Amino acid sequence: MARKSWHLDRRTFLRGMGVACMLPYLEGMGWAGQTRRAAAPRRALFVYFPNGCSLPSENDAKYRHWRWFPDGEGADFRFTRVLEPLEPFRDDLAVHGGLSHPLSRELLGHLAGDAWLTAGDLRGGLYQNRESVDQVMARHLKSHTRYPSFVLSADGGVGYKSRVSTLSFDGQGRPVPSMHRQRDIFERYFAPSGGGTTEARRKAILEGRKVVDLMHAEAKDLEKRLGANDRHKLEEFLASIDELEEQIRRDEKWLDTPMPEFDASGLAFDASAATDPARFMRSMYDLMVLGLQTDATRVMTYMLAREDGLGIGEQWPRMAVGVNRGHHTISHDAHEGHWDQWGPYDRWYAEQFAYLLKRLRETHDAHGPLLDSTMVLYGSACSTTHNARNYPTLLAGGRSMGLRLGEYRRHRREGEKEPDVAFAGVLQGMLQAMGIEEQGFADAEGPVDGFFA
Amino acid sequence: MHAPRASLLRRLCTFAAPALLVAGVLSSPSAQEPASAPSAGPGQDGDVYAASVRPLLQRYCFDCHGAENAKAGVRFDQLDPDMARGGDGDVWAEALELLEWEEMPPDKAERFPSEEERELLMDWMRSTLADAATRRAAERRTVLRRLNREQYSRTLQELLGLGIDFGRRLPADGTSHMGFSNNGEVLRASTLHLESYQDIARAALDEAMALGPRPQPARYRVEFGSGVGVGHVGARTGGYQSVPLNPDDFRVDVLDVDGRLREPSDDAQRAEFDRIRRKVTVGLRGSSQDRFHVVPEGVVLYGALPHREVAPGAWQGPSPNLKLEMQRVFPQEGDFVLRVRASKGYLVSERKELLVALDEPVPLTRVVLPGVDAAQPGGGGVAVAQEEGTGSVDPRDYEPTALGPWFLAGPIPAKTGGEARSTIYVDAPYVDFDAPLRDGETRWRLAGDIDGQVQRYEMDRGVVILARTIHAPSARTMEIAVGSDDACWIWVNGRNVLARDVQRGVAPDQDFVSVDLEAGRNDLVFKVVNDQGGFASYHRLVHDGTRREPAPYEVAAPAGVRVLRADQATGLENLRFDTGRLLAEDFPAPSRARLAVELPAGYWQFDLVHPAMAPDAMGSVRLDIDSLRLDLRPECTQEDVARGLRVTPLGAAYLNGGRRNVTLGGPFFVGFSHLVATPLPGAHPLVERLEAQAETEQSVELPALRAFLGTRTDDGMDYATFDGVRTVDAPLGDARVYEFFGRLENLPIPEPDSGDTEILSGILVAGIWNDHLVKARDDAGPPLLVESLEFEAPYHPVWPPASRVALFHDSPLRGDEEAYTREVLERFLPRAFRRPVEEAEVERYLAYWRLARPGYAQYEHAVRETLVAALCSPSFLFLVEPLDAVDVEGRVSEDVLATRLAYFLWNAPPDAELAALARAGRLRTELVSQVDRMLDDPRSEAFVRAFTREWLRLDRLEGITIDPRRFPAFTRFVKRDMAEETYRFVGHVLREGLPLRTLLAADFTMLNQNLAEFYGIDGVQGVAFRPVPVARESGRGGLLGQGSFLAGHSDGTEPHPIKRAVWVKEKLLGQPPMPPPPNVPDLDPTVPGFEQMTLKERLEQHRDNPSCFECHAGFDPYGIALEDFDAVGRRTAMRKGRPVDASTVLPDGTPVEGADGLRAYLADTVPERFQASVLEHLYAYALGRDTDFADQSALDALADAVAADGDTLRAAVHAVVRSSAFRDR
Repeated sequence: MARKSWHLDRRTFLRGMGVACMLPYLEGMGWAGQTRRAAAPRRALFVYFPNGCSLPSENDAKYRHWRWFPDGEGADFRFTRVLEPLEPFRDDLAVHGGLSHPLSRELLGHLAGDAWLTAGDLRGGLYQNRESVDQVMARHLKSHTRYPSFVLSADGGVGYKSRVSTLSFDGQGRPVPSMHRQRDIFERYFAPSGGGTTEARRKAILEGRKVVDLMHAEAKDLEKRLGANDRHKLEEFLASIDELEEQIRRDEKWLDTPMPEFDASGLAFDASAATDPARFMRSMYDLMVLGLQTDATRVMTYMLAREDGLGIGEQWPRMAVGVNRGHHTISHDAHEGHWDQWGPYDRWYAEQFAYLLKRLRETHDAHGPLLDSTMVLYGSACSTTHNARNYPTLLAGGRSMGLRLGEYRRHRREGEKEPDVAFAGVLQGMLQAMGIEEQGFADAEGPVDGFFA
Repeated sequence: MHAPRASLLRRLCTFAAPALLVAGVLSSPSAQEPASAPSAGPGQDGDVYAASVRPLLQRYCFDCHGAENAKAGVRFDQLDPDMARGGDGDVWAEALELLEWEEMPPDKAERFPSEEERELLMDWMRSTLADAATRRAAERRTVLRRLNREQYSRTLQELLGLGIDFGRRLPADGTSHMGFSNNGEVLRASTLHLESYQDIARAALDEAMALGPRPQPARYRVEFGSGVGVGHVGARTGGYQSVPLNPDDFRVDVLDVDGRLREPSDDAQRAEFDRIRRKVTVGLRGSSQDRFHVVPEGVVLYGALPHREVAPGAWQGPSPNLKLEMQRVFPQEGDFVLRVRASKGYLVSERKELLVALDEPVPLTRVVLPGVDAAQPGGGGVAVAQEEGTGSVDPRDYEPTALGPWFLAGPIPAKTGGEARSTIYVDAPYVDFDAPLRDGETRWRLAGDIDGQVQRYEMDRGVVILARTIHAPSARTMEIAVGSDDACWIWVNGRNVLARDVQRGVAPDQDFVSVDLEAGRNDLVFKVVNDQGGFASYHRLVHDGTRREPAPYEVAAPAGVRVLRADQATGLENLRFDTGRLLAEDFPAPSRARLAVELPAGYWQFDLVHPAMAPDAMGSVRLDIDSLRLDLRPECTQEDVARGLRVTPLGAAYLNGGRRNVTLGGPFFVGFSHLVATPLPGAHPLVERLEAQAETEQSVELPALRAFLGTRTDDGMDYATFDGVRTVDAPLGDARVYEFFGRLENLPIPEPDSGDTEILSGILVAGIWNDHLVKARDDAGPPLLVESLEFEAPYHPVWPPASRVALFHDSPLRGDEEAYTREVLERFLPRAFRRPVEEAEVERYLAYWRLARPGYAQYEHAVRETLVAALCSPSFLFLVEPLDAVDVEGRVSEDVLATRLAYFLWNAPPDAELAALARAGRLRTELVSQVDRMLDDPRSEAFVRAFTREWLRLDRLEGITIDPRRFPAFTRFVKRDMAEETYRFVGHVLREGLPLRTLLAADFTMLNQNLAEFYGIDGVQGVAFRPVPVARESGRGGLLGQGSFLAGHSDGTEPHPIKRAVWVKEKLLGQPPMPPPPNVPDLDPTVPGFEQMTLKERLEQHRDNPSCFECHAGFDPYGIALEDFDAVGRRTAMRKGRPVDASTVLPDGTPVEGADGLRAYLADTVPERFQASVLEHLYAYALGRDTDFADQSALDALADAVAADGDTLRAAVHAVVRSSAFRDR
């Protein structure tokens, strides 16, 4: 890969298996030219693990060690062995307990995964999912970046309703296909020429611009023939056209903005999810960090593995913790030693996640560590087996967006039969932190308590 | 009596964004202004106001509606008396109305104005309002309306001739305060809209142009019938709780576009067709086994029993449903057709064995735990004995056996199979592995670890002997699974335990053998014989025979009951013993335990005694009795969990007598300690039902077909029905084809890029059920015989399709691109813009085409881009009414009138006849006949549905979740038919020219059998809706007695009098009550007995609170009167164990008794108020804007016109069209 002799900051050189990135500061390269004085970009990542988490009951001898949620509460919390790998980041993250989607609670936990980022209503006879929060963000932010969002997973595609293999759903509630082949991801998003799609995109943009020009001309002509009230109404339409034009102009600018130089020599495209899942996962995290560094996009979802023993992730416990059974099997198990399988497996996931946080902390843009301008939501849509309540939920980063960090908050609706608080409050908080003022997200009644500092 | 004024709230909301609405209502309308008396109005009015009116208001009104109190959010001290220019006209109108009705000042007021003072106030208000209305009307005009989603879809559909629900991809439209989504003020055009319009138009035009050759459709025909699939390639789709049809009983044919059998042209194609045959399977998932039967002629489906709305059953469709399951062998878009060859069926009366779920699962087995339940008498005729001698367990029982290595001898050649069989090599109790066999030559050799693997031997005819020693610490039983090619024998310690002489190929687990081991050494010998062909053997130790302790309790049964204990089970897979129970080792993996039992012929119920599991563990049980199978998911209560066990009734069976193999297990197996088979007496309801089913005469009712399409999911399917319902009257033996048409994009089909190879991904389901829905399992309904299902997509009956020909017509100019394009545009643009287009406009688009042309290799693509632009033009997207389309007398042009009419009565663009009349300038003169024509056209159904849905808020019914446990009969089909009842009722009143009053008090309602049965009305047969006479006492005639309203305004378990009351007030009386103020306290649950109070009682408690009473007294009674309808709209006399009290006093002092009383009041006492409300809503819908006080005189005139014309809904439509607001600017 190309390496240019920019005035580089050594701190950003990464060691180990990661990317040696040559992008200390965006404006240091003088590309895009839009960040020096602008506010720090705001970013959001969503990382999902399936099948719930290890949660021995209080009477269980394994409670102290293998409970996903920390001991204690508030700032005075202590990780169990499960999230212990995240100890170096304890001031940069918050753990939330007692959250779930009200409409998902009666669903089989695996199905709740379809609604993690959507809060959709899958209870009825018809599957009615909604737009996922990352796609809402992507819709608002797409004009600022080369791509609206990255949608990643271990298995690719969309899976099938009730057992999806993507976290993202479009405006009509349809699943957005995820990508999982890392070389393909790299070539699509980071190849120097934009993957050979530039001409097609240019044409599409050109078509769009021509249509908008004509719409504008038509509307202007029409305006002259309308009465005052109608003209007022048409102004709305014209304003939308102007906005669309603005968007097209930005799209065009991207076409002629060369991809920033970076060094991808450390990227491992040969990591196989089948034989070395940790390396595969870390490579994916590397690609995500690269995507943020180059500001290719600011929103990403990554479904680490699929629910219910489907997909390649089911095989990982053997390689991860030497247990020769599937993740789903472990989650169902009740034999005495099974917390010693589930707990360490969750810990293994946390170790990989710690790698992502480390990379985000080490990598800087003009405003400081990426971790400060990036919120990472990490969790699952059930806690114990098939119980779509008390989602394991961890929010990391986002310091510059005002998130409250360094505590474990247990949410609870006192005196209620169903004590869980709506999980959408987290998603709503993330939307607000991104500076997006949607009229509430799904069934959220504002951000959950303690979301913001 | 005066008609109601357009309400205060509406006015407030009309010009406010939704977010402001609440604030605007909650604070005083003019709260933002400084809190000083407003400037007096202009000129003389202001003088009158200041001199005479304001002092009166101050004296009689300010106490409650002033700075101190501001009740109902109204402050007379701040109301702007300039009604035309100020913003308070509607408040004044409302105030006038209340004065006229003498509802204000209220009875409890301290001071009342004299009659003269009232007159003075009312005169001033009336004249000022009238004056303001005149001035406002001059400024008023219909606001430019964007097409809403439905209008957009229908407009594009008409324009392009495609049946795609285009609007689905657009953001949802808002609704006006009066509830309408065709309101110009609330319809916005965001950038998201504009982007979507382009994308939709481009895809739609591609589809309409259909460039290229006729596509080869995916066209598969599946014939059903016992044995028709034998010898053909077929497969079954598995997965959790699948009910696949045996491939022997169906045959898949791949057809060409004309329906002929496709003959493969080469081996590759043959392989491809076979692949398709394996990817098109047939399933009846979600269907009970006793509701369908494979017969020689096809599949018989009994009347479908709707599923309870409880997950996961709610995702499986009604029972039975028959469907093709097609995995990734179908297109993603286009029209499709599902052809069903069917006739009336017959009841399958042969006494065949069957295994069914129980109607009302009640266990017949009772288990009493020693020490816990000992004090209780043993119930159910089943006594319980505690296991004795549990203290003396030989520790050796827990030691596993020690297995010696496998030894193998042979293969030893034989001349014939007979010789191989008759030669006995083994008969001694112990084997000497060092000595040769009896033939003196063949020696034993070590075979290695060969358990569970098929061993193959290179020999045509011969014998192989396998042997091993087994050391058992104590006597016990062991299970061995074997397979062989062709015959095998097993000896243990010289004793023959298996002799299987069959001609067969080897497979794992062909036989299971229980072997009794002695303490100490045991010798196992396995002889395999081959006659010819492949030669192989298979063996596996299934269970190593550690002691199986009995359960700490025992179910001792009376004579006739069979109790099978877990420790008697053999053939164990993935199971381990734990205190008398078999439990799954690896819970999600399939388990299996076999039990053999001798049962006399008859009906049996099977109960399973098993460990209780937390509900989230999702344990399940699969019961197989030979080839009969049942899956179910036991539901454990907290008590079960505390007790540690549960008795789950699995199901009932009719079994022919004899020895049966019963297998328990499946994935997520809950485990068990006992399986109990209890004979059912002849009087048992289930037996009666099954017997009755076998004996019922052929029903005179007709079966019906309903088709659905969707996606297979893990727990069921995501499906939607399409293209209505067909009654099947073809007689048995003379089947005919019923066709169902649909559009793939409009239905929940699997995502194209499933991206994986999981066995359940990418499966499209397309199927049918017998839509003669039944309410109970004992009702077979009229049977339906399905001979075949045929799926074809994309469906193009002609090629090129009409949509292409419509865009690219034949023309002599075709050779000249530019001239031809001009023609294309001259044809397209007037239709798209719903008016003649000028030369300059065509020129503009032609220029656009010229610009685009070089960018495209293909001519049509450049034209497509040009048409995309036209479909993004405001002339297409908006209902444009330019100033120059109004003549000197203020009349809108005929084109504009045609458009207004078409979107009013069809929700769609004008058709050719309307357009032609408009061009000819004759529409205005033929308006009456055109309105009649339009109302008689089927397209008017779009008006009926859109208007009814939004006026009467049927969306609330769609959105309601009724508690399925409380109301199991309230299925989605009842819900659907409730909405249907209301749509058809309004449509019937309109088309039959019935009086408006009929809407309230009809002597009929629109029912089909399904809904009639739910309402408890007899004598309605079949799926078709028709007017059914109803007695007045039934409460059913009219909107107030319809489930769509009653169930839609409940909370899912109880009726909701407040919601119902608000609906009556707003929709039927045209007076929306004020929304609740902020921080309104909830009903106080700490009041003693609150839980047991009915909502009516809670309301009364609520109304004792003076801050609530003010408003609630004005509408609660309307809801209380409807208390005799329950949450799902059924008449009910009791609630919470007490008689329902639906007597109340309406706000004007009229006492009414129940729903009948309220209906009589509305229809007979205040009919004008109801009629005025209908007219006001109709008027607002027709004009695409909400009404306000300035419309009052027009509405009054409208009411007069309707009254003069027979007071019918049809007359109302005519009158609205004739009104100045509709015809003029």
